[in-house]
Amino acid sequence: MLRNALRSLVFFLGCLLLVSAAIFCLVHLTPGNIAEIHNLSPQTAHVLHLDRSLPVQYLLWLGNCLRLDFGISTVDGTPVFALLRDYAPTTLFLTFGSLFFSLLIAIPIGMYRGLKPLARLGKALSVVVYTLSSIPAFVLGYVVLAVAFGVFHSYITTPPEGPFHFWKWTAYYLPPILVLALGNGSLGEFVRFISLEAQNVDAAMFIKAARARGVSLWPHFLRSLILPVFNIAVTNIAVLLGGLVVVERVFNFHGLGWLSWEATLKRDFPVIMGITLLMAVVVRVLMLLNELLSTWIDPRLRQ
Amino acid sequence: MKWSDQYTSRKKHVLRGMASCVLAVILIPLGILAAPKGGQLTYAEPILPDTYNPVTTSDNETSLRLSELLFESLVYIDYKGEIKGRLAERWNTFNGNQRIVFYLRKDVKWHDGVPFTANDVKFTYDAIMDPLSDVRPESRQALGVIKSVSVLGDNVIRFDFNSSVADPERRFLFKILPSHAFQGKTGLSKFDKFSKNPVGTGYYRFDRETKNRDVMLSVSKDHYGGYSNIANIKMVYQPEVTLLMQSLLLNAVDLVVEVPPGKVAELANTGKFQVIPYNSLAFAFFGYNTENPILKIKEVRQAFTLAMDRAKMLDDIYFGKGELVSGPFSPASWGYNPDVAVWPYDVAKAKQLLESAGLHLGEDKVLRYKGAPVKFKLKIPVYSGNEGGLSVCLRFQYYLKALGIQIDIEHREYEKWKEEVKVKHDFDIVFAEWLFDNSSDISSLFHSAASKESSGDNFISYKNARVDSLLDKFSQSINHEVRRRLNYQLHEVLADECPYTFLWTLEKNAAISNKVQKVVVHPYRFFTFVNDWFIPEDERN
Repeated sequence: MLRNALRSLVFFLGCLLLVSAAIFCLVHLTPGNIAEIHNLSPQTAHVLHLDRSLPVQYLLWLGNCLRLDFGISTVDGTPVFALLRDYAPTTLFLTFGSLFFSLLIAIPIGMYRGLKPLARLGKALSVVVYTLSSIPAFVLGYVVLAVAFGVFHSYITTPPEGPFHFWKWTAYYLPPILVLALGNGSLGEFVRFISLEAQNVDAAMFIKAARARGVSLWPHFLRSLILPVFNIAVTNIAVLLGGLVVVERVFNFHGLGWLSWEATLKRDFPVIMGITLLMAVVVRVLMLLNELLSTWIDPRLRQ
Repeated sequence: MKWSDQYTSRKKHVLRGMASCVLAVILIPLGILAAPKGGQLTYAEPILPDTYNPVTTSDNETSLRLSELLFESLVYIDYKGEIKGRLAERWNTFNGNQRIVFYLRKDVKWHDGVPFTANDVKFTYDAIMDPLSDVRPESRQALGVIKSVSVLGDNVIRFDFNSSVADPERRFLFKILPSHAFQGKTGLSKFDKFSKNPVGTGYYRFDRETKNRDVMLSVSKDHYGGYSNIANIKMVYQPEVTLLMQSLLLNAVDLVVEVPPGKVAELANTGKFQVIPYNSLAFAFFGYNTENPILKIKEVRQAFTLAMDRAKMLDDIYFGKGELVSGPFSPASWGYNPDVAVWPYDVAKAKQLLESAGLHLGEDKVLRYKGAPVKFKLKIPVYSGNEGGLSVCLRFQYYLKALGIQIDIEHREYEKWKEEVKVKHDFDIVFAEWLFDNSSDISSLFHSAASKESSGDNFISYKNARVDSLLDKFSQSINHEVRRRLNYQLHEVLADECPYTFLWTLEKNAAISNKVQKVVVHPYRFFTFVNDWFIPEDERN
């Protein structure tokens, strides 16, 4: 168990190192001199180590990261850590909110489809789900906005200000969460996966035996589904994070996706690096959690 | 009531009435009664400001507009394009424009209450010229003519120039910074605290930047000119055109500084907005690399210009929201020669010119020069907002195909485009736009000396002895009328030479809610006259 955990940790750190190195190379492959692009004097460029060779710049950046110092924005000098701290909560809220809604819709539909594969209602629901899922998030986003603007005459992309007001808050936060939950391909993937798992569990011998004994099937059923659902949810977080850039942009939602878009347009390399590293950490931590949870739930995996 | 009381009462009424009349006669013309104070103006910008420090900004239009609200310069350009004093009360020039002395206002205070003095002006100049400052090279170049600066008292400052300078006061349009905010340290960094929390002398003071990057400004009540009518200004960032327009239509914002050409009519038709055209002294062009053996032939460049139906392009792509130009100035510029006609659309004449230049159409409908098919690389920078430029290049490709010329359009990310075009000169034709201030000085664009500079503006490597001579005279002259005549001649020569195909100046339009009144927009600094704008009390949200 300890060896597994250590191996996972080493793999985790190796992944972060590779991701950061790859992104560092990619952003520095783009043409133009960073100091010139941002009109930085040789003095400022020196302070930011921009006058050093690329490997040295990378190592210095890496060393600073260990002290949670991700550098400063080359656009306005804000510490990247402060930007991440300010923008990450919004993104996490959007990500986990949309994941929650996706699962809330997908679990009952997927279970129903898995247990009653021939039911007409299940087939109809599948058609609706797959249709929604196949619409790109940005298209769905614009449709939602067009309805909000055109039908309800409501400008919903202004962040609510002042004291908490339920409807203003909901109008601003709910649409992007729903768009990401319904339209990013995740919902269809969840429904398909859960229905297959439900079919497999339903066909398993222990369920048949439980059914024969006349005991309640749901506890066994749900326990068997927890692990695969968690698995697919974790896998989809990376997809959701990818969709965030577009959804946050469309809805003027100021999170990490929005920030990364701005940073890319302005060639704000420290910010791009910081966001990428944070995303990689989040995804890898969740995967690590997934592995540990799997090992904990299923004793066979400890072998 | 007794008679005496009635009399006294009536007398009081009469006196009150007279006093009211006198007050009204005095105050109404002053505009005090007509312009109620208060309310908030919310305006949307499509890009974020990079800094609030006007000296270290990287040519960011949002920052420039904000700095117009927060900061002031010694002088400014008024409605008629004339120089007027702002922080400078008056000025005198000496020794044939080799020296200028500014007498500054004594009643100016920074937003933090510290009095404004000549030391602040000297500090700003020193900061711009300090090689350790994060300043655009162009800003330094403009002040490179200054030899020395002397503070002659709290409110008097003298600038000496290397040689005579035409309209020397026009060099002092830069915004003044408070020296006390930097403790006199002239090496300005974009990352100074000041860049996030600026202190100016303008009509509005900086309050805060919200987490959503909205900028909140409030009126400066200590302003020497009397404080501005609108109490608060909020700048919101909205990069999406669709959302930008919807925010205006649904009253989430009151002002959009640049309406896309296709939306102008729609907004005007609603009757809810004032659509205000303003000109940015810019023009778009196709530039020809004159190091290319074919493009260095004048007749070829003329033929290309004749082969394009520019009026149709302007109508189709920009909904006619602009004006064709015949030379290297915007029609709003004092250097524009109205007597030079725009080249017509004449394909037959274009073909004749190409024939005369030794380019012949083969049986395969391909134009050949010395036996080889004629084809060119057209490079265009790709950035948000240049979608119209892509359409323009496709039209250009279409028109030249009719002459038998193949144009390969190469899209480049902006920095890559700059590197390939300005540094490596690796292009045949470029599509770009120049944006000018009011100086109308085109030396860096067409002087042969500028073609030798790395990253210079004469990247087409244009060389013409007559143009060089006119540009030299322009630089040496200090008489505005002489300079105007020289620009007229330059316009004529360059229109004939066609180093560029001069295309058009696009009309910029701002849309502002009808609730905001007395709106006048500065041609390129936008908020210069914001102190006169007002929102009637019953229109405030």
